[in-house]
Amino acid sequence: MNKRYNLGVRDTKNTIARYKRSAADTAIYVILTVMMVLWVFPFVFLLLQSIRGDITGPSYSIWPKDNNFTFQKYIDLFNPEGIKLSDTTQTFHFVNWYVNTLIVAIIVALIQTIIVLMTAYALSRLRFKGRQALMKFMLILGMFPGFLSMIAIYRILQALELSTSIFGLILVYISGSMTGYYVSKGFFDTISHSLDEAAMIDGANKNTIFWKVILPLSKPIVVNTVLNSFIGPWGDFMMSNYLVGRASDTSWTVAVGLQSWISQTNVPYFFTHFCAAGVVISLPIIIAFFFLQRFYVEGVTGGAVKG
Amino acid sequence: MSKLSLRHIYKVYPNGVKAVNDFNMEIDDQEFIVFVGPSGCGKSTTLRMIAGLEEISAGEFYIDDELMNDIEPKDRDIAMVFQNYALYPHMTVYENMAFGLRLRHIPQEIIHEKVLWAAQVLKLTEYLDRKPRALSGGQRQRVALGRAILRNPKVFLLDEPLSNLDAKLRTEMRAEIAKLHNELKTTFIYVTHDQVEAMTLGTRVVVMKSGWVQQIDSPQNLYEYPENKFVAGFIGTPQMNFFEAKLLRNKDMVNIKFEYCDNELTIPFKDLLKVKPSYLNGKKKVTVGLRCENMSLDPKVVEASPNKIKIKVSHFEELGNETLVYGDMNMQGDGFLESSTRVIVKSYHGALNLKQGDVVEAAFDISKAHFFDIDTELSILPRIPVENVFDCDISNNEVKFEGTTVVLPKAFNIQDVKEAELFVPVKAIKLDTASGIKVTIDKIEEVKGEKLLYLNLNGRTFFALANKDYSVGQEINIEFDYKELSIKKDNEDVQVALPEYDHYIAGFSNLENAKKSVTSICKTLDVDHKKYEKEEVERLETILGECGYRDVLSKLYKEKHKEALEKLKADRSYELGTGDLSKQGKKKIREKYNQLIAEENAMFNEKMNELSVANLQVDEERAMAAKAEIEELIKTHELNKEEMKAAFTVGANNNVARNKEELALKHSELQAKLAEINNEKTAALNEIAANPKGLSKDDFKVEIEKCKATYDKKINEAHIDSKVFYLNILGAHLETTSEINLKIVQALGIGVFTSNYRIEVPHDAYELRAIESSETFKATVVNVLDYGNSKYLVCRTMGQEIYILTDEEIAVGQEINVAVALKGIRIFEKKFDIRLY
Repeated sequence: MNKRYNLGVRDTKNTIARYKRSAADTAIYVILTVMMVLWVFPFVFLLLQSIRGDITGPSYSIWPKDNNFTFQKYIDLFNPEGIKLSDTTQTFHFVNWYVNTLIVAIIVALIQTIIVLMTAYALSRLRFKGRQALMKFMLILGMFPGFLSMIAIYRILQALELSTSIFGLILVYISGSMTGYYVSKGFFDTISHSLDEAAMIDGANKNTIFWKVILPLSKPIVVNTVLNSFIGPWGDFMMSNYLVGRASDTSWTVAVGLQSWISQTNVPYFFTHFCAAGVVISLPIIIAFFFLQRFYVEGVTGGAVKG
Repeated sequence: MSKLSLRHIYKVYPNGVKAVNDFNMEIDDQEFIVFVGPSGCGKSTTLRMIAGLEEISAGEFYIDDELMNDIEPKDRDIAMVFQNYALYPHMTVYENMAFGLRLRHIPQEIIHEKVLWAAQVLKLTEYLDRKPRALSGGQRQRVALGRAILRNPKVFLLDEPLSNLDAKLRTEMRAEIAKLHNELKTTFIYVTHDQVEAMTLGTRVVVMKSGWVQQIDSPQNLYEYPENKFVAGFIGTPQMNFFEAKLLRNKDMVNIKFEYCDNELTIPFKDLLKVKPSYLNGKKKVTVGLRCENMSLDPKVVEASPNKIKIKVSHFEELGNETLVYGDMNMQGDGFLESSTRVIVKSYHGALNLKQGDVVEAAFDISKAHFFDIDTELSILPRIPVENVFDCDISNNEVKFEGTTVVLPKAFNIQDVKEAELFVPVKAIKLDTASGIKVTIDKIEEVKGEKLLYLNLNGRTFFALANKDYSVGQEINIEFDYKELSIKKDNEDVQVALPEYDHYIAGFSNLENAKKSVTSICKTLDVDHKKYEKEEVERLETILGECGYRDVLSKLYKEKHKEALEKLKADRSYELGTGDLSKQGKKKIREKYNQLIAEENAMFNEKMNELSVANLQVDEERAMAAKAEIEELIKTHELNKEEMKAAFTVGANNNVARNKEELALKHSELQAKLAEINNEKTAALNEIAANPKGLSKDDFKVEIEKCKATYDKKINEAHIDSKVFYLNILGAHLETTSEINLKIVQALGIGVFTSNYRIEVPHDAYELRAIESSETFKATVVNVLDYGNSKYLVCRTMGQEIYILTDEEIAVGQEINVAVALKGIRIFEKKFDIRLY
């Protein structure tokens, strides 16, 4: 009797615990679902706006009238002649913007990655006077927002006659890149020094060690750095508007161009184009993420283990 | 062929920590050298310096007579195996092994061939396509070995290669490494902390401890003739048993009386012939070491043995085929902690029926025992004794010992003494002389390539080193090298041996900065003087205390009391900090120390009371004399210091004036030489560029690099050649040899001119000059020491006494100009005490 009674108690306890747990789970899922809807909604909205055929300006309705869907806006974007609507006087060359941005982002991503990784490697492996001070200095330098130096940058680029060129833009993006050494240095620090030493004895110099031993082992951090350095210039508005924004529209980047489409005069005619362009712009990053996400996550955590 | 030579190697870190001290070793071709020692002893650092992964702070390292200090690791032709394997994780086994060869631009076919060969040797053929992470620990280590062997290096370096493996694999790989050494026939240097690996693998083993080499010898000799207690304890498992004991000679037998227990043994004196008599007087404690296999609990052995010791058994360690019995010679001891009465005996378990707490008798094979000095821990039974000691009487400058009388040379101008001790270094005995003392050769022993003769003089055995063959029983004449003899009476010097070197403070300067180096020297002199002054003042205080000055005495007492209290407190915190103590245990320790502190306080108070009450007789006369004497000493020291400073400054000024012209000359010479080398370089490069046929693109590049490197080296040499360095001894500026320059610059880099040096000059390195010059300093002859076969001038200069070997007849009191020849001198860096030359 006693025994059964005890068992009963334990059963009741278990049941209560189970209910409690499932209630908590349900609550969490509800919250997450709400958050997801809030988060995804803008993207869905963007996508729907980009393929509606009934209007060209902004609208509060999500769904087009009479289910009028069209891909015309996407076709317009990639028209090599440029986009010229009958209602406006201006021609916009989206293809040029896209190509310009791609050129800037790819070149910056490549060069910046190399500079960042080399800086990180040097700071991780070489012992020289003032190393600690230099590291701190660079870290602090990297904390200042880039626009603080806008006027100086403008003067310098003007002297170089690059103030309205995308190459000037590339120069600006690259010049501050070594300040982002921190995560990669942390990653390199976790790679055993005896590998370097073994390679040294095998006959490798520092350069060979970097390219043939350390880099192949640092795929995650390489991917991480490439993606970061690509995304920066890809979406940057301030610097590109300041520099190439003053040139003719063929040398603009997407950020500058799209901003002009949602200006007060253009927005009634270009809002849906704007949304279509938004989708197109996100494509390269989405594709890159799909292929590289495995490394990316590894890279972020891999470097973070030891700072 | 590859010979390695490490000469006076030091590793000093920027914070002043010395990881390796004065490492000297010659390694022959095909030797298997093992560095062994506890962690932090500097063995890995030394290996890394050989590999070039760590900079050599001071000293030289040669491979095949080529200086390697500044050569890159890749150009040293070495291979290294790391503790954690250091395989490239992203490459396959094949790639890992081929990597080194690829970097050296070796043709693909040869690489392939070599990799296959190495894989076959190490049984890795089936794993060639795998990545390291798919291999087991043993396989990974084999890949690391493979990577090393296929380059066919001159030297193999292995840094604890087996410590990451499990016990069974370790034994297997050990055999494999031994096999590799046999097959490859190259020099191996192997670092380990495991003495079993060291003993089984090495042809010679280097035992190290806290940066110092303890002993370099074959495994067998390390085991049988450890030079100090550390080596004795480190080599062999279980550890050697150490006991404290006093030795007392009783005619032909020596009695060993163990401390902290009632056990006693006797050992024939003939086994302890090499021990200095001062250890055999029953007063001085020594450490007796005996290995557990030289003891026995077997009743039959015990019964037959004359040397029996009573042991209380505390516990056992079963090893299967044998048992280690732990016990204590002290019946109150527990046998668990290491102490000077703890005994470990190897025994066959089945034969004995022992229980904890039993008291048994053990037989000690005392002829296998080792004896060490209790303070220095050095063996007092060295294979080659340093000196012989005789009891002697001296009268009329004649020394009588062992029934023989020898007339001492004039240099020995000593009063008659009775029952003194005559110290004759083994090296100071000259054999086979025309006249002298007649002795018989009792025995000849070969030790480390040297012949040690046991000489018999009227029944007394002593030792000498021979450099040619003698036969046992032969009668020969011997003579002493008198300048190395010393005589003591009741531990006080009657006659001291002539020191081997004269010591100087010195500096280096080059043409540009003679003055700067002098400032630095002057600073050191000041510091030295302050130290001297402090020491002397302390000495004076002691004397004044002895003379009965109350205030001085109370001050001394107070200081001593303070010291004693501090020591007690430190001891207490040490004892409280060790091990897991129960509350009870801690309380006990606290009580013990409280009592000790109370005792000390009581003693101090009593003394102070005594002092205040006692009618102290002040020995005014002695106190005044001592005061005057010490003040005078300090004053003289200061005067000497000032004199030295002045000499250095004057010397530097003279040199500066002379240097200007020389500097210009050297500069123009250098420019001419550089231009010449550059021309040659261009010509050589052009020649290579003109004949590119027959060279592949890579080879062409290599050829160009090689050519550039050769000429860069020449340019560097020209720069060093053009530098003139001076060694500044007491203001005399001696132009140094390029050999010394290289060593000094290489050792200390740019710090050369701000550091201070201690120079040791042998007596035969002096030259007497007729005229005074910038290369000489002045000295006054105060005495002439005539040792019969050699004559020394005792000279005084700036408070220093120096000894000059000369044949010239120079009267006492005369002033001479002395120059120093650089041959044979020794140079030390003062701050870190690094021997540079």
